[in-house]
Amino acid sequence: MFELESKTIQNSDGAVRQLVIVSGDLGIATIGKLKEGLLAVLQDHDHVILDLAAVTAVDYSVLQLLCSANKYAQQHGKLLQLKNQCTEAFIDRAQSLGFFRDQACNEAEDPIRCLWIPENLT
Amino acid sequence: MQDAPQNAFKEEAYELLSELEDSLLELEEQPDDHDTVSKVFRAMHTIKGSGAMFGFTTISEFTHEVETVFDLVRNGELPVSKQLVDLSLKARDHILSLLDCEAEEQEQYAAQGAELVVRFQALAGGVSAPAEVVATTIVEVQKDAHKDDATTYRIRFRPARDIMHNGTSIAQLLDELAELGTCRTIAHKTNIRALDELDPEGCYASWDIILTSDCGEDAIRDVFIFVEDDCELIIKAIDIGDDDDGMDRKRLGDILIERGEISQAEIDEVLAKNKRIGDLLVEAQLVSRDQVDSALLEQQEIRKLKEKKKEKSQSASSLRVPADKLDDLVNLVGEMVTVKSRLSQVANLSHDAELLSIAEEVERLTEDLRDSTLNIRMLPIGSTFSKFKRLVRDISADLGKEVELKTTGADTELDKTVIEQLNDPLIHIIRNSMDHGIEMPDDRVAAGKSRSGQVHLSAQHSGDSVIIKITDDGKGMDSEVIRQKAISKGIIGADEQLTHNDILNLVFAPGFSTAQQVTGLSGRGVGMDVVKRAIESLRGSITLESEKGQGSVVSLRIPLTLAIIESLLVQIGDGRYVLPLSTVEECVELTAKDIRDAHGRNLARVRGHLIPYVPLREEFAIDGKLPTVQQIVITQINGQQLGFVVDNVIGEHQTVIKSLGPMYRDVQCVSGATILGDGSVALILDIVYLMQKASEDGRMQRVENE
Repeated sequence: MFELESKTIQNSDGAVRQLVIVSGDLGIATIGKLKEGLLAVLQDHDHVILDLAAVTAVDYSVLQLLCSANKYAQQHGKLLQLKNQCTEAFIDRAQSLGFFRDQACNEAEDPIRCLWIPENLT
Repeated sequence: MQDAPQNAFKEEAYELLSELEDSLLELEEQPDDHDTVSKVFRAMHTIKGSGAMFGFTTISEFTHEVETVFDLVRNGELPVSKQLVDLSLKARDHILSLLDCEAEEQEQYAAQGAELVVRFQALAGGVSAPAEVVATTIVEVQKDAHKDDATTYRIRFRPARDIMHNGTSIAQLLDELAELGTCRTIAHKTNIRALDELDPEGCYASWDIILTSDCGEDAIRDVFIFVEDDCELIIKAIDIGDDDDGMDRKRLGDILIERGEISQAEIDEVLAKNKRIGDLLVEAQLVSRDQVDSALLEQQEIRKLKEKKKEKSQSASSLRVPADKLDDLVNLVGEMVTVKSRLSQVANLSHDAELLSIAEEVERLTEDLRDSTLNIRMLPIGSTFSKFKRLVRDISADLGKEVELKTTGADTELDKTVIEQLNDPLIHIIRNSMDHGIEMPDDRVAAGKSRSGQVHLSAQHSGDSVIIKITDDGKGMDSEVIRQKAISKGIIGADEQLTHNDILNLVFAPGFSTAQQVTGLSGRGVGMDVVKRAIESLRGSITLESEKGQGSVVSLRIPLTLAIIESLLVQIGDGRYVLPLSTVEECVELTAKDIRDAHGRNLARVRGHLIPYVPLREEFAIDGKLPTVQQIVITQINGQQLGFVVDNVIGEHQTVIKSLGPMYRDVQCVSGATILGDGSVALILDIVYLMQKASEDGRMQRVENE
């Protein structure tokens, strides 16, 4: 079952982030819901952290969605960070679909924010 | 009878085991060398895999246990210890015994195998996994085996936007593709839209896949068979370029141009700045980072493929041929050489200019043919050397000595038969050096030497021979001890005056052994005399140098080949004989007057020196009239000169050595025969034996006493 939980967290330094915890099987069947959920959170918050630790499966549509969400965030001056995405399911998929990169895309507004470079993956 | 694949496995396994031994010994010296660990692992893995495939289950199961331990080592979970190397060497020996014996006999090794397994498991901390299902291993091996014929494909896959609507899983497609071979995938994400514009069920990306696989283009197309209408698919075998063009890889720009990503003009413009082309192109926004990455991947893949191709061409340049086929070839070449001499003879007599020129051409070709054929039989002596590493290691453990074996000139080439026959003598000499030469560690320290002794094995070319030296830095030989021993054994008289070298050479005398005590290693009845005979049977010679306290050097001079030699053809009566040219020093005349002057002692005065000679006519009991002037062929072996009296010296001759039939096996003064140009047979004289016989008959002493 796919679930999306969004909550606000505050650091010791007072910075506010929106933590989105996604769990379950992600795929084409639920991709519409995931898009709506993510888009809503990104529209409302400037710094969104996406926790994928409890995600059990992903497919191409999910990676595409994340890439797309990141583009959106950059275009709107927001920050999207992935957290705990290094589950086996995620890594395997990103690898076999050829998403990983040594260097960021030049399309990214800010290259260091590319989701698929080593610095941002671990 | 075993069938061919099983024999092929055995052959491969023998090779792997010998590599394994080398690697293990290397590992002992450099326990941290990750490459060597991987080598050991791979060897074990291959033996296991092919063993299972060809029905050697015992070997496969046993090797699995060893492999498991080395997997731990490879992953850094288990350190390389002496214990591990010892155990692995034993395991290697065990596998060898399993290979050598028939299936029914394997039972007898079961206990030994089980014990080794227990010890390996103890070493691994009992974490070893149960044996893998054999079938998977087979698949793996077959995959490996086919990799050689692999082609690299560039696959461009552009799915239609709605490809996912009908349930197609792109991940699944790419996974299927990956099963065909080694796959490197790059997604082009440029077209993925921002979230608010994205149709999450649409597919925006496209892919470049660099697939190295042995399957054909059709198999790749089959993967996409259900989405054919929903995508654009371009499959192209990558031309990895010609090796001869001097460039070892395709340039990134070339790949991009070839793909139609960019034009040469655009590249040239960008190239004007001096930066890495990929970065430049991306910066100039002519191509996307994904496209560059993809091209880079292709470049890497091509590089890999080229390296493989190189390896392959190297392996293809060596061919496994049964030894007897080679021997047949050498025999045929021998016949050719013989026929060539006949042709030359006939041509010379005919005075036909055309025939002469043909004969000369044939002569030249035959010589080339002979040289290259003999060259085929040449093997580097290194394979023998590496065997000794293990020997030295085992012996030093037995003796409680510390000995290091150094080798140089392992790539020196020698005839295959010679190498095989050198094995035992070398083992004997090395054992001797270690047993008698190298001192115990404490004694060495006391003598001001390093704790561990050194045995140095070297080989080098010298003219038509190879010189092999076995040097040790042990206690050397005490000439006084040797002298006393020789006197007590009755080899020399008590008051005989001998030079240092003469005394050293006494150890080659039959029945001589310097060991105070007969040990299990050397001095087990076979002495240096056996070694000497073995070397001489190879038409080689052995010399010994030693300085008390400084160590000894044993030098072997071995002819390069045993098949065809340069020789001197001589005539006695109607018969013709051949003497190896390498032993011949000079030829002088022997007149009836000389014989009279010598008063019946067979001695010739050559430039003031007296040289003993053997009248071969007498020796071989050949009847007939003596010519008025005979010839003495003076030969020299190990500083000893001896002349052989013949009727006539015909000249130099290329001799193809043929062995005599079993009927003549016991004839000692000839070492073989050869066929001459006119079809007649000439016997090859065994100079070493004749010299020894002359010495026993007292001919040599007489000159020394003159």
